[in-house]
Amino acid sequence: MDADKLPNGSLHINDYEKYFNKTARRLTSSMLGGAVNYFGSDLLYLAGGLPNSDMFLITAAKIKLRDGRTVNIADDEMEVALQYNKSAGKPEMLKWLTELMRRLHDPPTLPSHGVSPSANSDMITISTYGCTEAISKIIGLVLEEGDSLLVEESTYSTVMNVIEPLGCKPVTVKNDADGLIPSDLSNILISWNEAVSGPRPKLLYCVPVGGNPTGANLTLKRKKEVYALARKYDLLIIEDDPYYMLQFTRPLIPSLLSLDVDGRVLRCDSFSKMLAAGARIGYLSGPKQFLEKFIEWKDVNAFPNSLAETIVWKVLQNMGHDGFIEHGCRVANFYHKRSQHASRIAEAYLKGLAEWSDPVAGMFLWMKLLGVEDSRPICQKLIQKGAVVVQGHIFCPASVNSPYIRVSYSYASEEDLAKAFSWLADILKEQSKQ
Amino acid sequence: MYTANLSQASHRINNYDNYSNKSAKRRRPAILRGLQKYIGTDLLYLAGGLPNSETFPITAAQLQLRDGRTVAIDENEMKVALQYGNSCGSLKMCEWLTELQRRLHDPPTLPPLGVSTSANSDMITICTNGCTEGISRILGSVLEEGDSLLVEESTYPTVMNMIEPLGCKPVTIKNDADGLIPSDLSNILSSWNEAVSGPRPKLLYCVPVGGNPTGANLTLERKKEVYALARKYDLLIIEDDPYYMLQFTRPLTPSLLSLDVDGRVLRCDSLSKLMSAGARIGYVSGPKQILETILHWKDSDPGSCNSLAQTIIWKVLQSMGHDGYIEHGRDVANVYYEKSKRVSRTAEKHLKGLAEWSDPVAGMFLWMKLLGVEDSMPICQKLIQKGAVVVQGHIFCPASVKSPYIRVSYSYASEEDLDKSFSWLAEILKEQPTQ
Repeated sequence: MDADKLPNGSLHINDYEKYFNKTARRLTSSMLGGAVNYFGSDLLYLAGGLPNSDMFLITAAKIKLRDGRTVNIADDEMEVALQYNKSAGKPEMLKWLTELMRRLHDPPTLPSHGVSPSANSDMITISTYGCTEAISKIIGLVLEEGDSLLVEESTYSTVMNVIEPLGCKPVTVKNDADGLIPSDLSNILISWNEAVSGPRPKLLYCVPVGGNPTGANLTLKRKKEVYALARKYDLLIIEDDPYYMLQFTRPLIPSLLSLDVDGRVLRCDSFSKMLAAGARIGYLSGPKQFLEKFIEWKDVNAFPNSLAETIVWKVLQNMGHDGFIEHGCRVANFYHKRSQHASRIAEAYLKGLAEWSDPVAGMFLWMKLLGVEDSRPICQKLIQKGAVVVQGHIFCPASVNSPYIRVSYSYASEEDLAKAFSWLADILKEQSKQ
Repeated sequence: MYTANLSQASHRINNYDNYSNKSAKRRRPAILRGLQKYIGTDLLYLAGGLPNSETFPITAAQLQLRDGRTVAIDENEMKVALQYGNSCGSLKMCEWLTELQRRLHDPPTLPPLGVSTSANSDMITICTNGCTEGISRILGSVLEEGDSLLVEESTYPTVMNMIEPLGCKPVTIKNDADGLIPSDLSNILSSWNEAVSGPRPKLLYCVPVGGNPTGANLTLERKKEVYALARKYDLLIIEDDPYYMLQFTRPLTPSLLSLDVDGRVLRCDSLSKLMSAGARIGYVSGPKQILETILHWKDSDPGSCNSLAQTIIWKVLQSMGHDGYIEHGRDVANVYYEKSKRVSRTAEKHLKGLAEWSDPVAGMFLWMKLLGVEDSMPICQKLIQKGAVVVQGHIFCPASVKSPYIRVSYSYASEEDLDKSFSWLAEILKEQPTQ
């Protein structure tokens, strides 16, 4: 959708300065970075701190793929892979990713094919070290000491490790089997009292697909309500979506980015669940002005890993968009089957002892242990019996205790699940006798 | 030499809380990380958000090396390479790097082989995305708003880009062809007035080998003086040393880490100049307590090391061994040495009497003062118009608005390129009105 077709163009965000914290406002472009513009031109380039790549010992590589094919990284590609590169990421890969975003999300702020982004809110895509880096740096550019971050009641625990050192606090929004509950978000925002709770929130963080830890999807209807609230209360939204392709059904539920007429969404995607967690490659799509600030920050501590990017890029190039989307379906089916085993085996051993909603995406089963206030002692007993799950309270910033546990079924065999759940059943039965 | 009996080593720093800023003090270990100790045990591990590597399309790889050899990454190794890792990096590589540090620096705070680290000041080594990430994390863990960072008068400009967002300012120490000048550092510290300049500095940042931009080495004698001042004024030292192996002579000048009896030095090394800049592999060696806090930070951004890039480089390092790596360092140093001689020769030919410089003793930079010039920027712009790009000196000099210096990188330039560039520069300088 083009900018001139916006139904309500006047809400299009013109300038993101008001969302930037002190740190972000002080960031400036690296002056050394300016010289790089001349690299590769006709000019004799004596400006770079580029080490001579003749000294690097690796000259080429062959990558073997599961389908039997081989992908080659030839000499000239390897030279680029081993050298310093642009902070936004490998240009060819970013172009490919932008077109993938167009295909999957048709983002309202993405200029038409062939048109360069120009407005501050125009969508661009840059590479990251994965969703975790993206979230961490977005929060680090927006929140000031004393600010609040809107999060789901059960959410990715790492976000707490990000905001605490900044002196910020989580404000939790209830969630259920359909994701975060918009009416609760609305209540929180309507009744916000700055004298009591500090500055009004600027940022909402959510995991709308295969929620970590919930395994739930935020429905499209609720996404629209959430977006309307973001517009009303002038929030930016971190759409943390590493499990997007791991939805168990097709067609894929549209993303928040696909609704983003104003330029409020910072969408964090990742290759970690589909291609290579260890390659540390994700991609962030969002407003140009915001992402350019993000790049300024990466320029001083986190240049992209050209070697890993080159390898991943060659695989993507080999697959094409169609192949990538197909691969996504296969991976989703893989986890779907496993989730069905997990549910079936849970039903066999834990019916009446625990409650859960069947996962609709991703790799987690979020299970409430009945008659239990605090799942921690149960988890410890389970370790003694021989299995490790995660106690729920680490995902619930508003709670001290939680009756929940998070079970990952990505690796567990049916046998393992049967053992683990039968041990858990024993422990819970002993509990209820006391 | 490591002193096991800490009562004899009362100079060792006991606790680093005094050097930690508010953020660092608030950092906690991630609980999810704590559960990982059960991986690989007999326990059924249903705790991790580990994606199943059967869904990853890459199964193996073969690397071609310049000497004709091939290094293979087999299926099992590739599974590990493609999976999340921890934040300090591959344990095998960290061990190898620790032993390399032992061999090259014999750090006083490194426990003997086989003895675990225990004291807060005991040396550990962690992997980072190059020296750049290392420096950034250290600054971000130590400096508070309003603090000062001691830096050399001419230094790596990216550090300014790191401290400005923190609301901190640089305090510059004069340097010359032998590196930073200890007597100037001493003056600055002995005359520090908190009412005027803010809190006393806690941190010194320096590039002691093949200085960027100066190409100079801090002499051993001066390193000892600097260390003594650090002890006297209770400073920590960031030893940013990506060009260490690129010293043009052997034996290598000992590092600040090799003098570090107290646990003050955070040494940042890098494989960028020797193995691959794009693989983003550096390593920081320093006090356990500080580096463990940094690991907690890394757990929340980016959450895992780059196992893929590390596996690739690790396989090559493993095939070289420490000996091979040190030899490779010597080969690379020789290549840059030849290039530096060529650049000095060509500069002499065209710019004698027009510019002044000290011949580089390490690394890839020639730091040249343009005579009769206050501000090199217009000269650089004219040089671009003629056809060559160098870097204007003032961006390396935080205390100056203008600088008569330029930095010339010779890592890639051919003899012909240098001839052309320096002859154009000479023309421009001769055209300058005499002052």
